[in-house]
Amino acid sequence: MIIVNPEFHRYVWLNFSSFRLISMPIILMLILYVFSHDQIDVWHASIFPPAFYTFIIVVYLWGNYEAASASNKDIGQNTWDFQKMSSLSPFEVLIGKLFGSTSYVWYTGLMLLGIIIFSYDSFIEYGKIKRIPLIRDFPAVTQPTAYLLFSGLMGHATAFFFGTGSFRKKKTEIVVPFVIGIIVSFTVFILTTSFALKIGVDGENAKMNWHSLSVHKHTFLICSLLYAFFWIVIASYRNIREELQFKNSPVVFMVFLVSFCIYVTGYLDTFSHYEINSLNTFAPKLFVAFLIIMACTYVTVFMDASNLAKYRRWVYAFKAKEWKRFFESTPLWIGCFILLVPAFLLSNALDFYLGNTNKILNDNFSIPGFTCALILFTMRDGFIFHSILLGKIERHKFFLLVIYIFIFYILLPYFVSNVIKGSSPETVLNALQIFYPIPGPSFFYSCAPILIQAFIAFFILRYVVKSLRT
Amino acid sequence: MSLIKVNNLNFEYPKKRVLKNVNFEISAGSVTALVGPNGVGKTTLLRCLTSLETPMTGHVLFDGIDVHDNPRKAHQNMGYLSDFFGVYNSLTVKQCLTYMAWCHKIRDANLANKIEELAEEVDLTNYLNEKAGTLSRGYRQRLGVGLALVHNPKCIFLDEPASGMDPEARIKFSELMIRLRKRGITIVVSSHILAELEDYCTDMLVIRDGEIKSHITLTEHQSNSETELHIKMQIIEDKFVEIIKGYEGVSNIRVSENTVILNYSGKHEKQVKLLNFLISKKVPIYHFMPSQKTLQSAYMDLADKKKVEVK
Repeated sequence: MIIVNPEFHRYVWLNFSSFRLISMPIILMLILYVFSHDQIDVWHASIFPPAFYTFIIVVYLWGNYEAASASNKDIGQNTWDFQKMSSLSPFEVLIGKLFGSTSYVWYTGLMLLGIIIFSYDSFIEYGKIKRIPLIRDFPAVTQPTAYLLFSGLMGHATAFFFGTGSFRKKKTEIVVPFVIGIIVSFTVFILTTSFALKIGVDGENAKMNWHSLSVHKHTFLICSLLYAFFWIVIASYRNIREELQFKNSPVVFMVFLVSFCIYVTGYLDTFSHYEINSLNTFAPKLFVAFLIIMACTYVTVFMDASNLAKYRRWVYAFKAKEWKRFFESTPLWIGCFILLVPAFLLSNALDFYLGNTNKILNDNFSIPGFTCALILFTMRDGFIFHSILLGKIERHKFFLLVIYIFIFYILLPYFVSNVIKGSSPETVLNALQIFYPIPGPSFFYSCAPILIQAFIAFFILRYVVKSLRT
Repeated sequence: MSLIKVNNLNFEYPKKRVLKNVNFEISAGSVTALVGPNGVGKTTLLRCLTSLETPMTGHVLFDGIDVHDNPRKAHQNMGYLSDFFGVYNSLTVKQCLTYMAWCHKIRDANLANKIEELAEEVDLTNYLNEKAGTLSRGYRQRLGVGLALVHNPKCIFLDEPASGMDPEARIKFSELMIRLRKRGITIVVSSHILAELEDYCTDMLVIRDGEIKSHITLTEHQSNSETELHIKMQIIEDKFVEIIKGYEGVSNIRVSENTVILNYSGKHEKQVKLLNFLISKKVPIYHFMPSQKTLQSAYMDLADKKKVEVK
């Protein structure tokens, strides 16, 4: 129960003094009076805009700031060690901090939400006020308020998640989580309201196919929001778990990745012209899943590359045959790679089995060549990222990474494309396949150049690792 | 009986190995001083012992529990006060202690009484309704100890607890440590100022360059056959020091201003003979004092004579 959560209770002590409890309704009344008093004859409707904008300021700006700074305050005030040494579970810390830090914001926000509902209701009843056409077509008064509420929650959860990154960095960082929280809040609100307007226009016909399920778009929207909210909360939970010295294996991330692949590939049914549930619809889904896992592998390789301590712990656990610790210290990219292998094999097997009946792009596109090239490019960049970030170079590591990416993805392709200008399209394609994983008809040209590069990068990494041992 | 067992602990920051194959045991009820120069890994070791940091390799067993495998279970019986700890400035002392008790799942009906008892223990009774932010450094430190003690742990770990305290606050703090020792609480306290540990420590772990160089038990050290003698002279000349140095049983001579400090292997009768000998050699002595061996002398013995006694 949240009320017996010590962390939440602490925020109640801090935020809910008698003065603050009484002053906020008075301030809100003054704001609404100042911005609506000239239309006193329709006051119950005219308070909608000031109530709405005040809600936006309070929940989206102030709320995201509080959520972003919830973890940072403990780092900055050196109080975090006491919580780490306590018996609080990661979930209790998460709930206490997320809802505790924003409790006063929601006290204010919920009052405003009540006013918004009241003023919206009056609009429906009297039908005279034309100043709020945006929400005129909504089927019920609860929908826009639910979206307002949810966009605030989503923003807070995201700001809080990025704020928990300060635990790892051991320094306060509020601006980035705060800005991300605001962006998420506004994005969710704009997307939901515009989507809801579209649903309102479509009426009962607003249905969609998702993995052969026919669902109402409004239901799907709510489920999508809940899905996103769930994983943001889980991500924050894992950050807190890690900080409280619980061990996070890559399994949860793998589950997320699988669920995300399922979620995204479900949309393909809407665009597919093949029979639902056939292999022909499954093949592109699998290929898209492969691309998603590939992207995640690339990102996690980059993220893990700077964590030398984790790699060392992993190697030591392996040498000591401490399999539990070995598993717990496994880098995330390995979890992604474990999923990548079956996705790769199945994509290629299906491509081979279906032959010409289901080409995803066109006849000039070789799935084996393209998928192998993607893996090899990730390997090359992974080796180089690790060589730079784990190596003995002390300073400007990220600048070096930018230089590497600039040279290999911009400068060299630009130089080569200028040299071969005027050559046949096939020559240009083959040349550019040295620098980019471009789909093409030839397996050899897709993979051979990057295979050589990956080998060279591997030997550079091997040299760096050897120098670390000494 | 050992409360804490550390086996082969190694800890690394990205470019620096801070702890190297650390092994030791700490007995229940002891007060162990973790001493060593700044930056040798005292804080890191304490944070590894309390599972606030994860080591590269090795195990820390606290009361039979691996603290890195079961951090929450281990934390039920340990408290920690970091060197730069903070308190919730806007809460009162009572709210701070109550909050921490709740964090340790203590929610019984007698909690208010327990908080008052704890406040009395750490000498904060008169400040219970004061905001934590208004407390002086000494009282903040007491509140910090109170927060670490609120769940009645078997052991508390204190990192540089007396730094920045005025002399009066240090004395009060020493008294508090002695009271806790009498209650049977095991205490591990890190410091690089030996004088502030003298009053209450029973053991000393000497750490240098991330390695435990020595584990000295003060009672064993004091029962050592050698006695530390403090001899004050009107004038200290090299010839007087040479006379002392040449006497049988004298070792480890240190000269500080007008005092010669030395270790002497003889008991009372032999000490009388030594004194008579020095007077007969016209050494201008005005003060001859055998003193009990201290942590400082133990540390100096180790530094000067490399007499290592690793447990």
